[in-house]
Amino acid sequence: MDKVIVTGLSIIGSVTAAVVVILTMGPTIAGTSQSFLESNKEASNRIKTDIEIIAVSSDPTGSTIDFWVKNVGVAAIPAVSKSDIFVVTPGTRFDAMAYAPSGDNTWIENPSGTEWTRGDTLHITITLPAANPLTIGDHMLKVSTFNGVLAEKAFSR
Amino acid sequence: MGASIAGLLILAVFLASTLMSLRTSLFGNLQVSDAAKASTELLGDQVRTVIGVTSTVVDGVCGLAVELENTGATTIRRFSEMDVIVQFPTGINLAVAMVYSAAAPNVGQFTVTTISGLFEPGNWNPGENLTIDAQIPLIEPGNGLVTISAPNGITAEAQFSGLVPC
Repeated sequence: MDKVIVTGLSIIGSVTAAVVVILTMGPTIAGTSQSFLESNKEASNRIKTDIEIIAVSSDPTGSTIDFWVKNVGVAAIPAVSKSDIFVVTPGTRFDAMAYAPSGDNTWIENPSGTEWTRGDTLHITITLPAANPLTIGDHMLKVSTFNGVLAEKAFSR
Repeated sequence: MGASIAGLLILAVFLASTLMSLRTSLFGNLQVSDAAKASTELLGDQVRTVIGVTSTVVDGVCGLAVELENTGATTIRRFSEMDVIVQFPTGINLAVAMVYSAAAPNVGQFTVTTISGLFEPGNWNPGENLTIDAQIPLIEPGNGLVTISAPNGITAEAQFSGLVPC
């Protein structure tokens, strides 16, 4: 009788211990797996993203820059507005442009709200302050997608 | 008996968690390797693509014919995904991206008119020449720069002069 009780108690104890282990380890493993999958998904998206600046042109005053940037990757690029654009003049300017339809140091895609799928080329217009336009000389344009894929192109005015 | 059951349960938990981790790792690695494969193929395609402008001809008004040669090792298709961008360093003419047209182009459009070579008609194979006709929207007579991009982003540029508004 004693042996039966001891065996029963040890079975209950071991099952409880196993359940506790499952309950504590299970969510941890599931969470880690989910993080791993998400991180791999982001990594694969980033690998599949690529852009190329095709052409850059500034107007005669140097306060407006038009450029065309092509999606040459495998993936469509969502959230165009979350891209980062920098205008660089070596030694004098390193300005980040804000996404807005108008105003100084802003950029907007033409037409606004354009989708950026594979093979598509976006036309982007940058507006610089009229008081601080591009000077005559060499400049650099840097464009980064929402996930940090960068393209840059040197141009002159 | 109790110890055996506990051992078995712990072993089962261990096996289940190992399988879960392996499955996650396998799916993740497959995802990344698929992306890497696709990206590498695209990169290889870009590296093998080379195009160059052999001539630009102005037709007296706003028509511009650009002859290009495929000096790379890839066949170029999907002409609608090509870009033709015209810019003017001086004057009031605006930089503009031309829109692809399968038929004869109107102002602001371009089309592919001829591809030399008899092999695979409609494809721009290595060694063949392709001619693009464009009707440039102009405000005033101008000289400019035309940039042509293949569907994979490889570009060629050439200057032209003597364009007059249509």
